[in-house]
Amino acid sequence: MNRSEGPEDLCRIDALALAGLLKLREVSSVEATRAFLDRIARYDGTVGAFLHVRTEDALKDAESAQRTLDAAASGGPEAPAFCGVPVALKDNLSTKGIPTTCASKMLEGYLPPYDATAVERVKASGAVVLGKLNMDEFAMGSSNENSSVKPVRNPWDATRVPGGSSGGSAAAAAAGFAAFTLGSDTGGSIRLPAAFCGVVGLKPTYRSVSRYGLVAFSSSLDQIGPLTRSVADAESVFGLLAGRDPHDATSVDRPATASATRGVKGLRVGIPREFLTDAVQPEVRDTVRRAAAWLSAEGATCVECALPAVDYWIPAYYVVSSAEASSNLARFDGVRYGHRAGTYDSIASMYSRSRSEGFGAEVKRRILLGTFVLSAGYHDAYYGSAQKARAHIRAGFEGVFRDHDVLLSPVAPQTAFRLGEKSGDPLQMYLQDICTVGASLAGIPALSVPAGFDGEGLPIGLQLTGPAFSENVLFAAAGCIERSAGCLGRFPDLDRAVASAKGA
Amino acid sequence: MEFDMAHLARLSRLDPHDPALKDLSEDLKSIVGFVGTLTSVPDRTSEEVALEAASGAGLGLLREDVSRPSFDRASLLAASPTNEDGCYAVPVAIEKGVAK
Repeated sequence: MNRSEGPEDLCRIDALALAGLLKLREVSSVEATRAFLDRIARYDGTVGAFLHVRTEDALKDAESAQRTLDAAASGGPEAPAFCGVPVALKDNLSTKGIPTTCASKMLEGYLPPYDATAVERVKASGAVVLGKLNMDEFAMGSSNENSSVKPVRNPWDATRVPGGSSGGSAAAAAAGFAAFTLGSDTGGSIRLPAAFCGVVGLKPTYRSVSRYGLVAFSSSLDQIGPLTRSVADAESVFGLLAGRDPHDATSVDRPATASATRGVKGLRVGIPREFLTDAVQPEVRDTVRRAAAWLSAEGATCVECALPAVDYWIPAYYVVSSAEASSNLARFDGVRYGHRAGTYDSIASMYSRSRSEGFGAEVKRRILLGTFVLSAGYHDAYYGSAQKARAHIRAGFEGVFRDHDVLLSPVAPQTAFRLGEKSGDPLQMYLQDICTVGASLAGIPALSVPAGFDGEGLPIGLQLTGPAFSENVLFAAAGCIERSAGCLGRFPDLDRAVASAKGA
Repeated sequence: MEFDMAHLARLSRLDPHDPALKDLSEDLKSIVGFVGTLTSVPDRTSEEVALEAASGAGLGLLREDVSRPSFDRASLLAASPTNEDGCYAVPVAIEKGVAK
C-alpha cells in the first residue's frame, strides 16, 4: 500500500495482501485493526453484520500480534500466516469468553468455556478476532431475517437481504468490516450469502473441516468455511482450517493442495440444464453462459449435463436437516446453559416453557417438522424416504463426475431479494436453496464466486461443485472466473447503503 | 393432513399452549405436503448401498478411551441459569414417589 492512501484502503485489500503489508511492517496490526473498527462503527449501524464487537480486546490482541511481527522482522521466529490480520466469526462458532448466541434469545449472554477447533486454528494463524457475526437463528434461514436481534442488510442495497444463514459473515466481508470471515454451511448458508453479497464462499467437503465447537444444527451436513474477498484468500483460509481433529471423529486429514498457478486447461465442466430454466433470472442464466465462455477460452471444455433426482433435493434436505435439528436442539432445555423460563410448575414445564420462550418461529417450525418426520407412523414414509433420496442424489453426483470434473451453475435462482419479500412464506424461502442443497446432501465441496452484476447493481454469484476433496479444482476454476469477471476490487458504496436504509 | 399440534409440541418439548403453534400448524401442513413427494422415492440400488458404505469408510475414528483433563467444573457451571453446591439446580422431578 502506498502510505498516501487512507486507512479505509486497508479494509479493501484482500487478507493475503494485508498479511503481506503487516509482515513488511508497511502498516501495523493496531493501525489495521483500528481501521476496521472505525469502519464497523461508522457503517454497521446500517448493515447489522455484528452481534458483538471486541473493540478493546481486539486492539490488545493487535498489539500482541505486532510484537510477534516485530520480533520476526528482527530475526526471531517467523510470524504465522495471518499474523495481525483482523477477522470476524459467525456467532455459532464457540469462542472462549466471547459471547456465542447463535443470534437466539435462547443463548443470550452465553460465554463458552472453549474455542471451536476452527477458531483455534484461525487464532493460531495470528489473526485478530474483531467480533461475532449476525446470522439466522441457529443457522436456520436463507435471508438472515430470522436473527432474534436484528436483520442484516445487504451492503450493495440496504433494502435487500444479504442471504442466509451466514448473512453477517458475507455482509462483513463485502463491506470491508474484516479481512475475512468464517461462516457455516448446512444447505447453502455460506454460498447463498456469498453470492448475494459479492464475495467468495466455500462449503468444504464434509469431513475436511472439524465441526468441534460449531453449535450443531444438522450434524451430517454442517461444515465451516471461509467467506473472503478473493479466491486466493479462500484457498489460504481453507488450508488453515482443513485437517483431522481428534475432537471430531468424522474429520480426516486430506491436506489442501496448492492450485494458485494451476489453470483450467483440459478441465471438463458440466452445466446442469436443470438450473438454466425460465425460473432463473435471465441475467443469472446469461452469467453462467458467460463464465462457460471464460473457462473455454482458457482451455476447459464446457457442455450441458443433467443432474438426476433434483426434484428430491429440497424435500430430502428439509426432512434430514429438520430431523437432525430436532435432536441436536433438544440440549437447550434451560438446565446447563441458555434461557430458563421465569415461571413453571414442574421440570417438564420448565423445559417446554424455556424452549418456547427461547426459540424463534423458524427454529420451532423446524423442530416440529423434524419431530413429526421422526415420529412413530411417519418415520419410514418421510425420514426413511429422505435417506433413500439422499443415496440417489449421492449416486447421481458420482455418475455425473465420471464425465465432468466440475459443475457450473447459479447459486440461487435470482439476485438478492427485498427484505420481507419472502419471509411470510416459509416454503418460498426454502426454495431459495434449490441449487445448493444437492452438494450438501452428497457431502461434496461447492464454492460461490462473484461473476457479475445484474441491471440493478446486485452481485451475481456462480457455484462450482466438484467431487469430494476436489477443492483445488474449484479454486482453479473460480480463479479463472475471478480473473475474467472483473469483480475483484469492486466495493459497495456504504454511504449509499446508509441513505437507502433511511429511505426504506 | 391435520396435525395434533399439542401432541407434536409435547414430543418436541415445546409449550403446547404457545400461541405461535396456530400459525406453525398451517406452515407445517404446506411443508409436509411439499416433502410428501419423497414417498415416491424408489428403493436404493445395490450400487447405491455400496456407495453409501464406501462414503462412510474412515468415519468414527475414535479417540482412545482414556481419562484426560476436561473442562473446569466452575467454568461450566458459570454458564448455567442456576447452580448449587457444584451441581446444576433444577426443580424437583420426583416428589413423594410421583413423577411430576
